[in-house]
Amino acid sequence: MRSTCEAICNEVGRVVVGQPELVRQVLVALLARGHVLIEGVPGVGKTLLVRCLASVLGAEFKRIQFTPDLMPTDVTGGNVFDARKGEFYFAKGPVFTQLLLADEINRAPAKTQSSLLEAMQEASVTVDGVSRPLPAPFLVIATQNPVESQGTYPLPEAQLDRFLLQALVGHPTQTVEKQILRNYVAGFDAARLERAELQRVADPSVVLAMQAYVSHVRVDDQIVDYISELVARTRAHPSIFLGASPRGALGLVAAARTHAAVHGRDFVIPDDVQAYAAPVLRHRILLQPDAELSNQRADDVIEAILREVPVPQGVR
Amino acid sequence: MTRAGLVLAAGLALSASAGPLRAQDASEADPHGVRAALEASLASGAQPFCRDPKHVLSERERALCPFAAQAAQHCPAFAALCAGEQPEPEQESGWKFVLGTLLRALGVALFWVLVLAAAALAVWLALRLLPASPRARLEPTSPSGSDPVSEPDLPEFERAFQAHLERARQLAAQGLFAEAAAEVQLGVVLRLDALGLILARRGRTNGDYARDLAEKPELQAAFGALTHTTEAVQFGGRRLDQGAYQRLLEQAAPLLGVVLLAFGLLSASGCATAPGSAPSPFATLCGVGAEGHSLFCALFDAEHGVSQRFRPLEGSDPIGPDVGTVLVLPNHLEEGAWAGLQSWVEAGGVAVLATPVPKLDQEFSVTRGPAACGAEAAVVPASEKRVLVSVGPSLTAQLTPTLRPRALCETGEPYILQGSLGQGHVIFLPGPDVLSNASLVAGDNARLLANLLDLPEGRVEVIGELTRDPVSSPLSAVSAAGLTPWLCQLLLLAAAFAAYRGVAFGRRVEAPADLRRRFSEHVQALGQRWAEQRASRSALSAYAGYGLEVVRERVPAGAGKSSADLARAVARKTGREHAPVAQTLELARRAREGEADVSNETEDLRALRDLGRLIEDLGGIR
Repeated sequence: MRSTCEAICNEVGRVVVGQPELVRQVLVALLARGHVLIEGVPGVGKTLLVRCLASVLGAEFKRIQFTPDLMPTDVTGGNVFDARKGEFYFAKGPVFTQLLLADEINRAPAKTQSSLLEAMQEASVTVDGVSRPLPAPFLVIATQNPVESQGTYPLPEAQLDRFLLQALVGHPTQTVEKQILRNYVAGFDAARLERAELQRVADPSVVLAMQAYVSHVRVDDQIVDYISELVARTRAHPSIFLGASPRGALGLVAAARTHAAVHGRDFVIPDDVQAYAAPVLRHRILLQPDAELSNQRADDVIEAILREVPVPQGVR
Repeated sequence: MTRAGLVLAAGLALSASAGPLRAQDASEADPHGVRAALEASLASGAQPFCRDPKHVLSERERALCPFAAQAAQHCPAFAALCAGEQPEPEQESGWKFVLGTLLRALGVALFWVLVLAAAALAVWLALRLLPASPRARLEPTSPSGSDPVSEPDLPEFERAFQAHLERARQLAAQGLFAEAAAEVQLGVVLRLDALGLILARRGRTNGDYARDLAEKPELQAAFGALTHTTEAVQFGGRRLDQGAYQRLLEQAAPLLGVVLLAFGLLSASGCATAPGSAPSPFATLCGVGAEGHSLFCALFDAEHGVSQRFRPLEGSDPIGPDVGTVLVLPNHLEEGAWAGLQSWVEAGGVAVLATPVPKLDQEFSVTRGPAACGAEAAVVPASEKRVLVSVGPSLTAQLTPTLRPRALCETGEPYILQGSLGQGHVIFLPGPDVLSNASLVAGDNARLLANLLDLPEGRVEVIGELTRDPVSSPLSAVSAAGLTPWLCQLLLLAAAFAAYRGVAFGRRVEAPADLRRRFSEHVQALGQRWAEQRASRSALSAYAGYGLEVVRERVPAGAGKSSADLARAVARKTGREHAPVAQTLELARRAREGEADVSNETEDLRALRDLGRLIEDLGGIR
């Protein structure tokens, strides 16, 4: 599993330059059966990443550009009347895919955003009382722009909680940017990805097998206690107005398990938990106004909690 | 120490054990070796008591007076000194004596002050330099430059690694290897923390520690290997048997160094090293230097059990039935302690004597030196030309049917002797250097010595430097081990350290925070409460009415004028920039007037805070 994951990351990294951590986080979310919310400025390769991942995994990929007038049925699909046959048939929406890019998800109103809730949680879509399963594996990668706030609909807490990870993408370093420019000068065109000749490293069945393997990674009681303590601290910390939910704790277990498996271990260690504490918890907590006033970020508070909670050391 | 000094020391040892000797007593106790050596030493005239007629004899030197007559030719002053004609020391006059005493006391005091200062400086440097660089590098900082959350230290992380290692040893002895491994891991972490190589904190993981060691790749690799094993046990449910635990300890050895050795966590089997593998740290026990005795390693490799005897032969710890050979090296046993060895040899044991053992030496009339053996010694019987490279002196003995030479010097004097005693036998070596590494690597000595000794079945027990008679008190044990100077230095260092750190007279607690808070802090806290209900504007409105009045009181120059004038006056008085002051006052004014504004809680709280700070800068509330 470790070699497969490394091969996937390396292959995607050939095209998506300078974002190895983002690639790894998306892969971890996929293998943990979760979804990713990517927050970053435009033009840093978010869409390219998903397309590359789909290409390397041989998975089906669709993209939805969220706009204020987007309707729920534009996402899920709906029943359409076939005049020739005189009956309704279900026209599948773009959500029926394996990798779904929900671009600028915060530009659509809450009603449309919530159309993704069932898909993300249950991996199925219910229209007119009929539930239809989504293809497996299923991964939603949503993006939002942290800068613009005019004409946007901030994601409600319930929706945010559905995302396993929130990944932050900043501007690349100058070195990375030079590499991007050199690739462009050499003829790379993001619109014509097939020219990059990405190798297909795995297929969806391999991904499903890896997902099954992850569920067998051992989580010791000490790790369970550790995660529980971390999450509990988010609910009692003076700088936090709203702490992480139990779903957040489950997400942290899942992410830590996957991180362990990706690193070739069949058991979770505290490093796995710490590696994914911030991505899993940062979008699930709300800071107090005074903490925001003093320029604290969610990551700062999570880091402080990680420093406070004792790492398990002994043997039971 | 010179040879004469060594001989003198031997004489002094004799005198110390038997009290002051008369000439005939000394002759009877040691008719050949010591007396002859003493005569030669005294005859050389190189000793201070041979040249200086004003020399004051000590008690032990006076015990050597019986030899003075024989040394009179080359050491005339000694005879005079022994005759009791000691010159009286010149009596100093009163003021000279007082002055001298004062100066001496002053010198001693100055000396100790300097020693203390040096020790304190060393401690200070160690505290400042060793932990500083890695800690400064590792301490996280918040973006705003101040740590948003205080980071409490764990008291148990304070140099308590020895306790963990001791506990690991106990747990391993009980067969609880997994728990012992966890203790070893903790001990390693604390050890590295104490050395300043990592920063051990409750919230840091093994991965963090491994990254701390990035500048020391060899330690990083060792720590990684150790962690890999312990984490698999702690979190992966792996089992750990004795062999795996032993390997884990070997992984930890580079990280713990001598500490692990001191706690005896590893077995002595580390003496033997597999071909091609790195040398075990326990090879040093066998002595790899020229004066060391790698012979013990060789014996161990040949599956001869080798053990060190610590207690005397008599009493509650006799020679065990599994011992086949007793090897006697220079030791600290008294003269009367060898009866047990003789009876054991008579019962069938083999004793190899590399140092004088009075009882057995007298039994066979064997003495060592002082004549050198020469460059080579021939092995007897010489069925072929077999030659030892000789080290040390020859032996002197009257050969009898029960005492035969095994090697002869070029001069014909015996070099190695073997005497039969009851059912066993005794092998006399000229000295311990014969068995040293320097001797073994010379010529074909190793093979020839092995053939000569021809050790029987059974364990080899070594009586050596660590073998002592029981001591009466811990202090005399320390003194006998030669640790007194070290102990004094350690105490001195501890005292300096205690003086540096101060004495804790109670449980350490945080300094009590100032419980009395400023009014503006109450206002801000209230504002935050109200902000949760989207009513922060009301709090600002109420505080602004009061605050603006206070500001006008404090700045008479701005009283009664416009807001802009007031802002300029406040800025001038507080030294702040004009624009932010004006913005704060304007926000406060509009809040007080209840003007409809598109504002949010964050801005309201910021205005509350800034207005409160302005009032504080202007002298606060009186």
